[in-house]
Formats: sequence, structure tokens, C-alpha cells
Amino acid sequence: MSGQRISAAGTRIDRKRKVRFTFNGRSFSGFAGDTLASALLAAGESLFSRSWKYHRPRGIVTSGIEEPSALVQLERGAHTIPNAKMPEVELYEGLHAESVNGWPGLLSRLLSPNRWGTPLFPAGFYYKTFMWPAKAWMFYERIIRKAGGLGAAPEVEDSATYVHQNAHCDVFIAGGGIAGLAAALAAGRSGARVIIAELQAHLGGAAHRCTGTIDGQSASDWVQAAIAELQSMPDVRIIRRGVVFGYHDYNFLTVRETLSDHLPLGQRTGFRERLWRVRAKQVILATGAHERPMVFGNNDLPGIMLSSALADYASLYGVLVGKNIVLLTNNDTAYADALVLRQAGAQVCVVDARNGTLPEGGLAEQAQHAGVTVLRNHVPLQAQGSVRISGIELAALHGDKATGARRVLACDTLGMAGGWNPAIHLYSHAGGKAVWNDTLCCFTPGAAIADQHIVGAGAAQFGLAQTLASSSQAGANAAQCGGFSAQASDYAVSESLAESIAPFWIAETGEPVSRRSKAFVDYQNDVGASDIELAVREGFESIEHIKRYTAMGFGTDQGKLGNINGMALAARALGKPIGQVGTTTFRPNYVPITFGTFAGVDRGDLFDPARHTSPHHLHVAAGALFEDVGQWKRPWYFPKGKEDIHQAVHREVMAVREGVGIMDASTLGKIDIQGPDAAMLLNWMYTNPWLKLEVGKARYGLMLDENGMVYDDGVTVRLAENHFLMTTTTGGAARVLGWMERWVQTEWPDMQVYMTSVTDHWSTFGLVGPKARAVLEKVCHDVDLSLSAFPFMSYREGTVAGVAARIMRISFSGELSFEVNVPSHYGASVWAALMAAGAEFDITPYGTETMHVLRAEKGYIIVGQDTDGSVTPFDLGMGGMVSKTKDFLGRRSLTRSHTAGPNRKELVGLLTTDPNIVLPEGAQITEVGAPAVTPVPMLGHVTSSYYSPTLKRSIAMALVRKGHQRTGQQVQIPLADGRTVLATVGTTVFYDPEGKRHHV
Amino acid sequence: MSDLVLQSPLAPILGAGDRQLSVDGQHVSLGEAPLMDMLNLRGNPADPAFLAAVQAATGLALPLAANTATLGQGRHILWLGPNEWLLQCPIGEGAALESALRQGLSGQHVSIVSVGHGNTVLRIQGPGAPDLLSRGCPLDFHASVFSDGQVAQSHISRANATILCKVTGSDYEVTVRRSFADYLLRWMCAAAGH
Repeated sequence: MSGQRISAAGTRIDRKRKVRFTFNGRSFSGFAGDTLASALLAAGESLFSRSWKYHRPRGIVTSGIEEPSALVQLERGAHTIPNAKMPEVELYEGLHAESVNGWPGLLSRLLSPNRWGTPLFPAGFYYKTFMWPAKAWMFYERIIRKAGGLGAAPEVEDSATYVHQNAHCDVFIAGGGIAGLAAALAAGRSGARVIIAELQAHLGGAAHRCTGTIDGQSASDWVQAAIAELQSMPDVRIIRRGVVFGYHDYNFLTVRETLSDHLPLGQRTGFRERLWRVRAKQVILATGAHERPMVFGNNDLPGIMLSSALADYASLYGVLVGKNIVLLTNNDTAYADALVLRQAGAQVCVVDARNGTLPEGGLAEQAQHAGVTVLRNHVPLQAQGSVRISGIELAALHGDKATGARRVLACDTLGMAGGWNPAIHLYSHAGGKAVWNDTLCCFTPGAAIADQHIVGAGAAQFGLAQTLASSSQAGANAAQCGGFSAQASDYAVSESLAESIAPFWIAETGEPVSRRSKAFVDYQNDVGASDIELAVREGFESIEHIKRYTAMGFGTDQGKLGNINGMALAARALGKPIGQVGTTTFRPNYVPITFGTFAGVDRGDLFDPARHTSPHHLHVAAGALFEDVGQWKRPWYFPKGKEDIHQAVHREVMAVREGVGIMDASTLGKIDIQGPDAAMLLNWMYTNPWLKLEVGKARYGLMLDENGMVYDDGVTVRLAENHFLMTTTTGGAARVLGWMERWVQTEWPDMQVYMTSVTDHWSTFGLVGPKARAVLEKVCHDVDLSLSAFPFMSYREGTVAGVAARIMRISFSGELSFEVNVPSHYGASVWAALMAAGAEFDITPYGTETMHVLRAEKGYIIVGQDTDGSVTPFDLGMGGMVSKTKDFLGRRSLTRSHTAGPNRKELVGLLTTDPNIVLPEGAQITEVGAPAVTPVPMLGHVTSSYYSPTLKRSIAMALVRKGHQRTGQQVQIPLADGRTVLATVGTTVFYDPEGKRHHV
Repeated sequence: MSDLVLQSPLAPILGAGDRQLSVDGQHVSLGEAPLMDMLNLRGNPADPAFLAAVQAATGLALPLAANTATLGQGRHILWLGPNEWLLQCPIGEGAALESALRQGLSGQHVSIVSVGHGNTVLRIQGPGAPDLLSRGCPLDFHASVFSDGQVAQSHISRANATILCKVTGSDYEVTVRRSFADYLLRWMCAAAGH
């Protein structure tokens, strides 16, 4: 028989609102409030996937997050979600789902021989089987992945959007069941800031399965009242559909809130998910427990589910999965489930592994009164059926041996109630070690962790009274820790007497497990009891090794359902108590989390900041293409018409050499340095002397790190006696300021000097070329711009285009150059004025590419391109910059044996024999006629290489071993395409070596 | 020059209007405050002469408690560090303020640096403002923790930000480097789902 909708019950569904959906290409309908699982079960479906290794038919096992088998690929294209768990999927109009493990077709027998070939797929079969021949793995893998793989990764960009939100609270509560709500009430009533996160859409947890009463109300009514009260508290935030997936150090927790997955695709506006990053003073874990399945032969047949899940589907969704139901149990909760199922109209028999008489007034007795058959002292051996269960073979117990009479109970549905595993995952994330409790037959949280409380079923408190008392107390205690005056509540609870659980892991028939029908421990990974025994036989003793060898606890459910049975069976095979074998470690994330959740808003053009200079929009309007330099967008070149980069750069370079160009250099780092010790600080930072620089003069400096390696460079101007303006490389601005602050704050705290970044305050435009003076004269009337009044490497203040400006005569091109600095809110305006003033001279805006060519023609280095952190000033041929008479940062390291040794790589110029060949940057350099050994000894590499429009030939700079001694010699550069290029070593200064052009 | 104009970094993308956003159903208005002159001031707060000179020049007491501000009429002083403050005033008043400070502080080891053109101020107003800030900033914006007159230096997503609370729960000013302003505005709109 198959499932059906009953007229009674179904607290979550709205029978007036039909919802249509498709599953594996067929159309179905359910009700608003259904899950995909409940709607399909209501429609009589029971087969949802095939297992990944053996291709056994599988149904739904659970009603929640621990579902191992019923996985679907939800939706297609940009909306697709792989491996959605059917019980977690809230139904919406037009939902489209496909089984993920259906290939090659749910009912096809193509791969079903695997089912009969179980011995061919033992534990570790990948390691054993597909390792030879090594080359064949690529072939094996394709088939295995397709036949056994999980859902398909999306092939198009995710169309959904995600957001992050930081949150702080006094008390964070993971879990919105009775325990969580009681804790929230106690904390919230004190005025503490409380956040409570519940992974389901509904609060209340297992309240609907609860048979007791609280203050005279049913548990469900109590839950509704609690929610109403919490919602009235302004500092209590309730996050529904919010799964706490990570619990990190210092009570930092990550919660994924699902915002729109329950809506039809067309109604999904706004964010799909929100990642809450919560920092809590106190944490209460009220995460509940997961019901354990039982291990017996063919326990994976469709129709075999958790007992609690059967009750859930009946009471929440009005779905009776079968008419003739057997519940297997070793504890009391199955009787509550039996009552629900009996009331829903099913024939129910409870098979209890426990012996002895029923306690009076207990749940078992109530169930019997309601017409439930109870068979005690029996355990399951194996299920019968092919694509759905038809019966269960039981054995009577003799003591703890399953050697008594055997019998078969016919049934269409089987529930497993093997006890409850506290959901200790978050406790484990936080570093907690679980301990085994023999009385309760479960792992419970061990040593307490500071600022953390664990309550309810998650702490193995399975009674209602105990849960309410401990949760309310924890809520009050947590709030008190935050300085609030909080009190626990006293709840009047009535509940049935409980009979203690009896351990049951597998029937002790005396037969080896390997000879019995396959009994599954981990459904998703097809790990059976025999695989665990095999792993132990093959010498694995640590539970962590057994896990990895068998793959138990891998996959999308991470063993939430089956792990504890696996631990118990491993202990049984090892002949040790379970407590000694222990558990594997649960790590974040508690559930699979999509990449979008972690990315949040930071994707596409918001992945990283794009920093803009003040005239950025003018550059865009001028058609500039941009280059990323650090986070800055710098104009790369300004093509005219259909120019390519080479044509544009050629034109821009020649304009600078023959007319006038203008460059936006605003991105250069600028640091304002003030104080009586400002000059002394510079004297320490730079290799050359600074104390005697005159006010109004500029000087170029090289900065070294502790190892004596070039760290940054730039020009610094003395604005006043105790006032300097330092420029740094574009990418080095923040690093250099931090470096100087570090020294001043940690090593020289008595130095009287303050540093302030002014990079953004000043917009810097270089007017460059022989006609630069003529342009500037048109817009600057209060500064004598002549060579004698305003010589190279000096500084003046004046008015440019009506704006107070700082003007420097410095050059990174070798041409006459005025660097105009204006406050940035005027930047766009001044840029436009300079362009207008230069129009009659055909002023040409140029970008970083032309700047690179111009500076390379002059042999000016770029730190980070021609240096790489292993290059000294001497290697660069800039030893003249290194003072012999003062100390500076990095100086001592320059004398270390290797740094001062004879075998350094040194910066040289390279001119290719064929002037039309532009060497690729990064190309390796070898000796001419290098011996034909491999690897060929490398002399160095090309650091900068361009076609020089000025010289009408290619030029390059390179770091070459003993390069300075090789002047005039040839080296060769083997290229990736097989050609070998010859080049001559020489000076890096290719143009105007006397520097006549900028002294004008 | 007749066509000389001051242009804020967000003028090219904001046009005339502030962005009206909704954060979990709560209204937020996001815009750029009128341009301000700003001075970064460094000096020794243990020196009474320093405190007196600043008070005389600005009319405001230097905030000495960490992460607080002195709010005046259109003029604020934000605490940035034990010996560092940010003075904000309407544009055009900065030069006079700077020269008054220099005069009053002459002879002392201080640093006064004009930084107004390097920054702009985003105004975030409305009941959803704390939640919008919290989407990019890890700090706690609850009224019990961050109220009017308090300042925090942190980040909003990947932009450094100095956040000033003007009215608890509903009015904030974020001082950000001008080169990050475009990114931050677009990021905040995206974080509000726009």
C-alpha cells in the first residue's frame, strides 16, 4: 500500500490552497504548507532515488534535516539547487524537481546487478578496485560519477542574491523548540537582547509529538503563547528558516537564513539567503535530538522510515504513509508515534526490544488502550520486499541474544525508533568532546564550555519537565551573565511515566554480519554493518580511520542519521565499550552552504572596491580604457577612433616627446609628515640624506626593508622646515604609512612627528612635454615658471585654474614636467581647465601604458615590476643613492655576505639584435651557446619590455646574474614558441642619458 | 575661471536625489552630505594649553573619551585616537579654522592637515539605518551600545569608514575616502537589495 491524505490532522497544511509541482517529469499537486516529501508521500509515491553504490531503491527516511536518501535537484538553470533534501523543501507553485540519484532511471534495472553483487563493493572498494591501471581512473570516474554522483553543479551563474548581516546579542539560542523558547522567555523577560534561530519555518520543534501538558495547556498551545510573547519583546529577534551552521571561537556563530526558497520562482524578489554573523555574550544550545534508525537486514527498503517521521507526516501534513504499520523500538517515543498513527486510522504494532511488564500509566499502556498491538522482547532481523517493504522478520530475545523463535509480521510501512542522538554538532564545533552515557544510550555533551549552556534533548534531557526547568534556568543564567536581573519560571508539567531505553545495535543471532542481508548504517554512502566489521578486520581501530575507510558519515548529511549506529557497531567489532571508541569530530558546516551565502553582496563589480580619481568620469567620457593598479582604476590608454593599444600608445608617447601630454597621477600615495623630527624620520626611512634638503626642494628616495631590499620609492618635497610631503608608489601607499607608523610607534616613540595620509585629498596631474610650460602659463599667473625661477626638482605654491595648487617640477618621463596638485573636489574642474588650456597645443591625455614606455626609455624603475623584494639599490645600479655616512633602515643587511656578494642578479638594459622583436616580460635569459643540459642554467629574466616609439625599436630591462659585468655582451632569450632571441646587455637608460630634456 | 566647480565624488552618480531604500521593510535614506572641510588634528591632550587653544579656535571642546564626538552647529570634532581628531565644518570655513588653530597652537608640536577633499560623508537616515550599517560593518549599532555622539572607526564591507551617530537609531554619518565613495554607495544600495 502507499501513502494517502487523511481527513484529520495536518496542522501545517491549508487544504484550500492547492499547489502544483512536477517531480521527475510528472505533475503532482499538494497543499500550501506541504513539503515536497509530504506532498509526494500523500500522492502515494515511495521510491525516490537509487543508492549511489549498489543502486538499491530508496525512499524517504526522515521528516527533517538529517535525510540521507530523498535528495532532489531543484529547478533548472540559474535557479538550480543540487541535493535539496525533500523533507526540507517547502512546496511552492510550479516547483520542479528531479531525483539526483535516478540515473539511469529510477526503475531501470540497468545497474541493479550491483544490488546482488554486494560482495564486489566492499568497504574501501575505491582504494582497492580502481587504482589500476592508473590511467583508467579517468574512465572509471566518468561512469562512477554519473551513476553514483549526487546532484549536478549549476552550469550558469546563480541568479539569486545574498546578503550578510552582523548581529550582537546577550543571549543567542540555537533551536526554537520547547527548550529554546523556554530559554528565550526567561532571558527575554529580563530585557536582555536575545536572538533565537530555528532551522525550520515553524517554531516548536517536537512539541507536536509531545504528549504531556505545560501549565495545563498542550505543548503546542504553550508554544504559540510563547511565540506571541517573544514577538512582543523589542530586543528579541526570531530567525526562522535559520540554520546555525557554524559555532566558532568566542561565541561567534554563523546562521544561514533562507528567505525566498519557499516562494514560487516568479515571486522571489530580494535576497535568497542571509548570512547572519552573530557575536553573542552567552550561547544556549537547544538543538534537540535526531532519532536513530535501527540496523537490520534490508533496512533501506522504501517504506522504512523513522518512527517519529511517520508521526510527523500524519500530524503535521495529514499524510498517513501506510495502513499497516510496524514500529520497531527500544524506548518509549514509539508509543507516542503509535498513538498518532492509530488515531490517523492505521493498524499499528509496536515491536519493543525491551522485556518485562508495561509500567502502569505509561505511554505503552495508553497505546494498548487505543488499539495498538504491542510485541515485547523482540528484535528485527530483516525486512522483506523488493521495491517496498512487505514484512519484517523478528526474533525473540533470550537474554540479549536474538536466538528465540522467529516470526514474520506483514506490514506496508515500518517505523524505526532506535533511540535519540542529541544534536551535539555545535557543541563539537566549539571544541567540546562528547561522552557516552550508558543509561541513556547516547553521546551527550561532556565538559562545559565557558559562556555556553546546553539544554533539552540536545543535552539528553528527554523529559518535558526536565527540559523546561533546565532551559528556563539557562535562559535566566545567561541573561544574568549579561547583567540583567532574570528569573527562571516554574512550569507545572504533567507527562507520562517513562520506561528507560534498552540498547539495541544489531540482532545478536550468532551469525556473522557478513553472511546476513545487507544491513545499512549510512544510507547515503551505502555503508553497511558488514563494511564496518570489514574495516575492523583489516586493522582499522580508530573511529576516524574507520570513517574514512568506509566513507561513513561523508556526503551531504554528514552522518547525522547513521553515525552513532556506526560507532556502536565499530565498538562491537572491536570488543570495546562505545565510550572508548568515541565519536568522530563534527566540524562546521552543520549543513551544506552554497557559495553565494559566503559571497554575499561581494560579487561582480562589488567583489573588491574600485577606487576612482576625481576626474574619473571625464576619463570614461574620453573613451579611456582602465587598468587595475591595486584597487585603483587608472586610465590605461585613450584610444582615438579605431586605434589599438599599440597605435594609441605610439601616438601618446610621441605627443609627450614632441608636444605636451597630461596624465592623472592622483593615485600616487601621498603622506603629510609634520614635526621637529620629520627630517630625521625621512633620514631613517630613505637610503640617501635628507637633513639638509632646502625648503621648496624635492628629492627622490629609495626605501629599503629590514633585509636591505628595495621596498618603495618616490619623491618627497620639503614644504616647510618641519613639514614634508612624501609620495609613494600607487600600490605601496598604505603599506608605507603603516611601515613608518610601526617604526615611530614601536621603536622611536620619542620622535616628534605626525603622519597623515593625504592621497585622496590631492588630485595630481602631470603636464609633460616640451610645451608643458606654455600650457601651464595660460592657467597659472602667480608663479614664475621659468627654468631659472623654478628649476627641476623644486616646488612652488600657486594658483592653477583658480585653485590653490602645489606644483612640483619632477619627472617620470625625462621631459619637462609640471606636476600640479589641487584639492580633489576641484580635481575634475582643473583637469578640464588644463585640457582646455592645452587644446591649442593638441594636449594628449595618456595612461599608464604610455607612462611605462616613457619611464622605460629613461631607465626609471617601477618598484614591484623591476624589483621583486630581492633586489638592492646596488643591484639596480643605484648605489649612488646609498649614503655611506649615515644609518638608515636596511643598511646593515646590505653588508651580509650574500647581499654584498659577487654573484647578484643586476638590472641591465637589453637591446634585441632584431629591433622589431619585443621580448615578453618574464622571459628567461640564458648564456649564448648554453650547454645542452636540462635544465638550462638561467641567468635571469626580463622585467620590463616595450616597443619604444621614440627610438623606433624594442627596449627591455632585465635582472641578469652579474649583469653589470656583461655590458656589451650578448645573451639569449629562448621563447615559448621555440625561437631564441639574441640581445645585447647595456645601460638601462635608452634615451637622453645626459638628462638635458627635463632641465629646460 | 568662471566654470570652476567643486564636485563631490558622488555627484556624478547620485545626481540630485538621495536613494530611498528599504531594509527589512524599514525605510533608509542614503545620500551624500553637503561637502565639508575637514582638518586632521594631532597634538598632546595632556597639555592644557593644547586643549585651551583648540577650544578657543573651534568653539568646541576636544572629545577626550575614546570613540566620542563633540557635535556643534554644523561643526563636529571626532575622536580618532589618543592624540588624533577629525574636525569637520561647512566647506569654506576650513581655511579660517586652520589659520586660527595654527595661530593658537604656534610653538606646540602639533599637526594640522587639511583632508576635506580626500573624504566625503554619506548620510544614512531612517529606522533601518542600523541594520543597513550592520550588513557591512561588524560593530554593534544597538541603541544601548552606539548612541548619539559616538564615533567608530571600522569598515563597511571593504571600505574603511568613520561612523558617527548623530541621532540614536536613525541618523548616521559615514566619513569615507573619496576614492571609495562610489564603491561604498553602490555596495550599500546592493546590501539593501537595490
